[in-house]
Amino acid sequence: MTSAATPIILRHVNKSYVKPPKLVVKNLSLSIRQGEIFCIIGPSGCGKSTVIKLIAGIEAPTSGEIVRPDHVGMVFQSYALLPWLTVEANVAFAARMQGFDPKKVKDVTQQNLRLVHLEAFAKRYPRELSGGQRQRVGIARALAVESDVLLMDEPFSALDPVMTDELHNDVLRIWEQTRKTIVLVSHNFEEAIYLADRIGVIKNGRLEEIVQVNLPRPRHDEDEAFTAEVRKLRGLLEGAHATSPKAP
Amino acid sequence: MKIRRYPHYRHKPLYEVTLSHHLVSIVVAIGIAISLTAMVIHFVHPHNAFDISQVSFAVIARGTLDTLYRMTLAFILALVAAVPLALLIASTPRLQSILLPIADILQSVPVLAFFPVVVAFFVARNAFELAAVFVIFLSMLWNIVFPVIGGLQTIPDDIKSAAIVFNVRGWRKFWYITLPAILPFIVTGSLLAWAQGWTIVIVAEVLHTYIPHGTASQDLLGLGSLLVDSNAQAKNGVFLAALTAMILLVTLLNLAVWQPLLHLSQRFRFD
Repeated sequence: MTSAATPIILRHVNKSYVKPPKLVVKNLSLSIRQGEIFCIIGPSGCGKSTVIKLIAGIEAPTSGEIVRPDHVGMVFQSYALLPWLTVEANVAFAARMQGFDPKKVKDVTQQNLRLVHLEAFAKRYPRELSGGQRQRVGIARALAVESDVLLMDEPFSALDPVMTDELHNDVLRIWEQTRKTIVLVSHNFEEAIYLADRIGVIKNGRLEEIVQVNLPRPRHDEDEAFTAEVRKLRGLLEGAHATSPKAP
Repeated sequence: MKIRRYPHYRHKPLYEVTLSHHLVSIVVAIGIAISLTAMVIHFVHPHNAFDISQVSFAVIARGTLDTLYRMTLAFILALVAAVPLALLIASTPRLQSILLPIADILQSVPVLAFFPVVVAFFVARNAFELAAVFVIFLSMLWNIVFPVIGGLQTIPDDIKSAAIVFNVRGWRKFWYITLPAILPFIVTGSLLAWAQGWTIVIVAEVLHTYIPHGTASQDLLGLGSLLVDSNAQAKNGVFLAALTAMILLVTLLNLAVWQPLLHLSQRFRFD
């Protein structure tokens, strides 16, 4: 059961694959609080994508318990839009699949396209848009589910830096307007410090540490306090590296 | 002239329907209805008797239509069988590892090798038309199955994940995600199937060569039998006329059906 204060709880979760045999998530326990931005960070192949897939219900845990809402919105690294549907139809599709009536589908679609500033592109097809615009459609679609939880799996890693900055601010603006719980997977320290309230550091499938980011918003990446937080986070991940046996 | 705005699908954008849209669709609908009726009449009451020594343009025109009916029926059957078969083969890695090699062997056995058995089976039941349709069907089937299996594998993992997250399952997943995703592969497979069908139809209509002590009277009237029988009797005029009719039909189908479908299906490809 989901409580209002902690919409997502993982208890002693393990995930292993049979082919090839591999334990990717090891005894992971984690509570994500209502309305926070929680960032899962770690090196490539550490299991962070698997963790968000477990939360999304895309994968089932091998053992352990996961408490999650029945419906979540999710944003994907590759956008995952349907190329044969227009921008508007992609967003409406997600709303329709939740069983909303036609009037509500229309309202939710227009409202969320407005939220990501894509009203003018409603009749375009995804391939006519830039990467950043496509990911905005992905965000609008995820919001159309009307869940309190928004999951984002490396949503900005295919975008150029300028576009990434714009979308970071879009996400913060949407978060301030909607106060949704956001779980974000990233491998970028600056992105994590810029966006997150708390950061879960994952290494080799284990949750090594949870870092609380106490910087007030809006955050500025040139500030001394900001760079100090980034250094601290980098130290944690590289520190985790240093614990592995060194080559002679 | 604007008539009114129709919601195409509830979730799709509205688009303008004009008077010309209505007129064109009425003409197309009547055309399809007439063709389907003629096709049904042909298969219920086949009139296949023809004398190769006295062939008029009317006979060639009827032969052209009859061949088109056979090809169309075989194609519809192949399409209806191929898509579920491809979905079944590609459904799980385990099933694929068993069924794919079997399908591979089946498709590499030449269809014409089955033909004498097929003809004997259908002729015993007095179903000459079905013998031809069945062989064309077999020749078309695998041309659609394999591209569709390939197409199913082009659906990106993130799209499959999105389907789970957004609650798109079962029939809705097939209808809204899988079918549109494989549409370009169905179109290219269909093109290959028709190309193969045109090759086989030449032989499939000349049933008498597969019936012990058969005579040309057992052949089905069609472009294939006209080509083969006119050649055997050195009727060069009939041969040229039938060849021209076939080239015209293939060209017309290509321009009116396959090119527009190929163009349309580009929209359904993942980048």
